[in-house]
Amino acid sequence: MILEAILLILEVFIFPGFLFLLLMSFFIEWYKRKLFARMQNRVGPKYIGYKGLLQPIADFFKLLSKEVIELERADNHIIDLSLLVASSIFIYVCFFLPFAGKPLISFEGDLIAVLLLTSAASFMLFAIGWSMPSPYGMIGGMRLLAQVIGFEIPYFMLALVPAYMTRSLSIFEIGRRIWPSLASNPAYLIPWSISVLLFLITTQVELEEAPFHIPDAEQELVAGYFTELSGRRLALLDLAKDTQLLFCATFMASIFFGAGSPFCQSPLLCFITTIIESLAIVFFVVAIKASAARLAISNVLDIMWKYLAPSSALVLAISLLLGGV
Amino acid sequence: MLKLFGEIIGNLRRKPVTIDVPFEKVEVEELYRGLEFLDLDKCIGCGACALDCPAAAIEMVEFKEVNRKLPVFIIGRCVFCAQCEDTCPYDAIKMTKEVPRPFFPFEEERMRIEPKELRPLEKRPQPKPLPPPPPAKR
Amino acid sequence: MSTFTMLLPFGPQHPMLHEPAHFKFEVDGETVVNVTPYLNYVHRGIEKLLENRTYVQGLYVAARVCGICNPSHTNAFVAAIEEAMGIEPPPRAKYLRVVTQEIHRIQSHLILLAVAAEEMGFNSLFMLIWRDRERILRLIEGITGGRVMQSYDRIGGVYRDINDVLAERVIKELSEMRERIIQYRKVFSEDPIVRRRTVDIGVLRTAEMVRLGGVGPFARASAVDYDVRRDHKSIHVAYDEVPFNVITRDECDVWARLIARVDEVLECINMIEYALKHMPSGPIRYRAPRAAPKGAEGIGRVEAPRGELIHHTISDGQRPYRHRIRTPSFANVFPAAKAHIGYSIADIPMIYVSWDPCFSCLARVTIVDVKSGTAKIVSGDELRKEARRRWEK
Repeated sequence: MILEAILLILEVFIFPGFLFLLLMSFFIEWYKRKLFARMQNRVGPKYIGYKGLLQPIADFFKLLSKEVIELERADNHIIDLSLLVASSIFIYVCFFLPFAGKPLISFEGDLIAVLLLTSAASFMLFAIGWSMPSPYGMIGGMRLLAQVIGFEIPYFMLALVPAYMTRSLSIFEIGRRIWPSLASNPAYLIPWSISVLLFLITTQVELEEAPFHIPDAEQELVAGYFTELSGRRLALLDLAKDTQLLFCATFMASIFFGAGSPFCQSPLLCFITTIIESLAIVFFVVAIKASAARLAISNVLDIMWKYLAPSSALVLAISLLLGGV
Repeated sequence: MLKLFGEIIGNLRRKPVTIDVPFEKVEVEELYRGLEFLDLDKCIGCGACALDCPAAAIEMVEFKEVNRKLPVFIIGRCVFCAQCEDTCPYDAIKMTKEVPRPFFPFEEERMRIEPKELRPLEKRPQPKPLPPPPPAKR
Repeated sequence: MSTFTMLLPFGPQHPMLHEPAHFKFEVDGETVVNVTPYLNYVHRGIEKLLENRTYVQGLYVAARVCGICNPSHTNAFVAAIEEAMGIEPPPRAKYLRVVTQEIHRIQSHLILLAVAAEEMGFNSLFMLIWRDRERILRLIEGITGGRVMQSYDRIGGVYRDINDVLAERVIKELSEMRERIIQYRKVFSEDPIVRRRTVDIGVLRTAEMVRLGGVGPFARASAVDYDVRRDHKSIHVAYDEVPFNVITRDECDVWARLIARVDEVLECINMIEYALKHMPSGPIRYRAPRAAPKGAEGIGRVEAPRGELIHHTISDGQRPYRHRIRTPSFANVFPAAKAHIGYSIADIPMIYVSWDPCFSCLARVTIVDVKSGTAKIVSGDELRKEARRRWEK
C-alpha cells in the first residue's frame, strides 16, 4: 500500500510525470531549433551544453530572472492566470499519453476529455491577447481565435477515425489496437493514410507553425498575442508552446501509429519507439515549417473551412462505411 | 506546392556555412584593406596623409631620437578607406591583410599603430609615379 | 458621417522596418484608409559635413550615406565633381566602374529579395539568399578591398585594377550564381503561397506612378520605361558601350516589383561578363586637380539600385560650397504611401518592402505633408539656372 503510494508519487513527479515532461519539452525545443537551423544551412544552438542541448533550459531560466513589464491598462490577472492554466493544461494532458506502456491516467473516453482540454488551453492563449490594450495584442488574439475555431472541427473528426477503427475512445486502447485493426481490415489503410496526412496539416495549424504562423506574424504585429509578455510570463508561454508540441507529436504518434504498442513487452523498447515516432513527426512539422511562406488569414480560413473540414468529414464517412455502420 | 522542400532536406547533409568567428579565423581576400603598414625607409614625414584622411585618424608625431616626423594611425577612428595609401607621394603606406580586432568605444583613442624600430632616414626615397595627365580635349 | 478608424502605428522600432521610420496607418477594420509617414530618424547632417571637407575627403563621407548602395553614392559624387572639374576618366576606368556598379546592384537586389521573403514569413528563403549573397560579397572584397564599403571610385579614375586571374574567377562565380538566381526566380514566380501574398497587391497604375514621381525598379514594374543608365548619356561610366535590357513589367503589383529585380540581377550578371571580356587596356586613373575652380558646378546622375540618384555640387575653390543629394527612396515615399491604401493590414509588410525603402538615404529633408506632392515639373536646365542665380547672389 505504502509502496504503491510511493511508486505513484515517483511516477507523477519524475517519470513519466513532471520532471520527465519538462525535460522532454526542453529536448523537443532543442531538436526543433537544431533541425530548423540545419535545414537552412545554419548551425543552431551550439555552445550551451553538449551541442547546445542545454540551450532551452538556459533560455527558460534567463527569462525567469528578467523583469516583468506590466502594462497598466492590461488585465494582468487574466494574463497571469491564463498562462498558468494553459501551461498546466498542456502538461496535464501529457499524463494521458502512453510514453512507456500504460499512461498515468487512462479511462474510456479520455480522448474526448483530452481534446476538450487542449481547446480550452488554446482559448486561454486567445485570452492573453484579448487582455492587451495594444492593437497588436488584440488583433493577434482575434486571429488566433479564428484559427483555433477553424482547426478544432477537423482535429476532432480526424481523431475519431482511428477511434472508430479500434472501437475505443481511450488513447491507450486506440494505440494498443491500431495495428491489429489495420492488419485485420486492410481496407482501413485508405482512410488511415489520408487522415494521417490531414492530421499533420491540422496539427501544423494548431501549433501555429508555418505556413500558418499568423498569430506570430512578426513582421506585421510584432508578436501578436504575446507581444507584451516578458520575464516569467514569456518563460511560461515558451514552456506551454514546447509542451504543446510534445503533446501534439506524441498524441499523433499514439493514436495513428500505436506509440510503441507492438513492442510493449519491455518498457524500455516501448519508450524508445514512442520517442522515435514523436521525433519523426516533429521532423515533418519542422520540414514543412522550413519550406513554406506565411499565408494570410483569409487564405488560412479558406483552407480550414473549404478543404480541411469537408475532407476530414469525408474521411470519417469513408471509414464508417468501411467498418459497416 | 512547397518548392524548396527538396533543397531543405538536402541541406541536412551539408555542412553549415557559418564561420564560428572567435574560434575559427575568417579568410580575407588578397587585396583586403586591413591595418596600415608604414615603410620607414620611404616616409619623409610630409604629412600629406594626415591632411587627406577623411576621419582625421593620422597624427604626425615627432620622434626626436631619430629626428623624424612619422604618422601614427589611430585605428579607433580609421575607416580603412586607403586614401592615405593613395595620397602618399612616396608609396610609404600600404594596407595589409590584417583584420583589426574588435574594440570597445572607450578604447578608441588608445588603439593606435605606432612605428616600431625607429631609424633615421638614410637616403631620400623615390617618389611614386603619378597617374598620367588627361589627354588634351578639343 | 464618421467611420471608426483605428490608428496602427509602425513605430521607429518594429520588426518589419529595418531602419527607423514611423508610419501611422489609419485602419478601418482590416483595410488601410490613410498612411502618414514620419521620417527623419536617421538624419546625420551629411550635406553639412561635406561642406567642411575637401573633395578628396568628401568622397568617403558621401559614400557613407547608405551602407547598401554606397558605390552609387560614390559614383554620383565623383561624376558631379568630374563634371565640375571638366575631366573625364580613362576608358578602362569607365568599364571598371560599370563592373563595380553592377556587382553592387546584384547584392542590393539580393538583400531586397531576401527581405521580401522574410516579410512573407519565408525564413528559409531568406537564409538561403543570404548565403548566396555572401559569395557576391567575397567577390566585391576581392575586387575592391572592402565588403560593404567599396570606396572604389576615385576622382579621375578608380582605385585599383583587376588582373586576369580575378576576372576569370568573377566570371566563373557569377555563372554559378546565375543558376541559383534562376532557381530563386522559379520560387518567386511559381510558389503558390508567394503568389498569394504578392500578386494583385499594392497595385499602382502607370499614370498614378508617373504623377507621384516614382523611380527605379519600383516605377519600372508599373511600366514606366525610364532607366538613367540608358537614357542619360554620361561620360563617366561606360553604359553606352555595354549592351543591356531595361526590365519593365506590366502588372503593377508587388509580384512585378520583385520579379523585375530578379531579372535585373540576371541582366547585371550579363553586363559584368561583357564588361570584363571587352575591357580596354590603359591607365586606370588620370591626374586630377584637387578641387574644382570657384563657382564650378556639376551634377551626377546615377541609377542606384533603388532608382535615380542625383548629386549636385557647387564649389568654392577648395570645398563644396553646397552639395545636394536627392535619393531615390525619397522620391518613392509618395507613391509608396499611396500604394498601401485600400489593401489589408496583412499586406502592409509586402507593399512596404516592395518599394525598397532605404531610410539612411532618405533622411535629408523634413517632410511636412505627404499628400501635397510637388506637382511643378521643372526641367533640368531651369533648375541649374536657379541654382546659379542663388549662388551668385
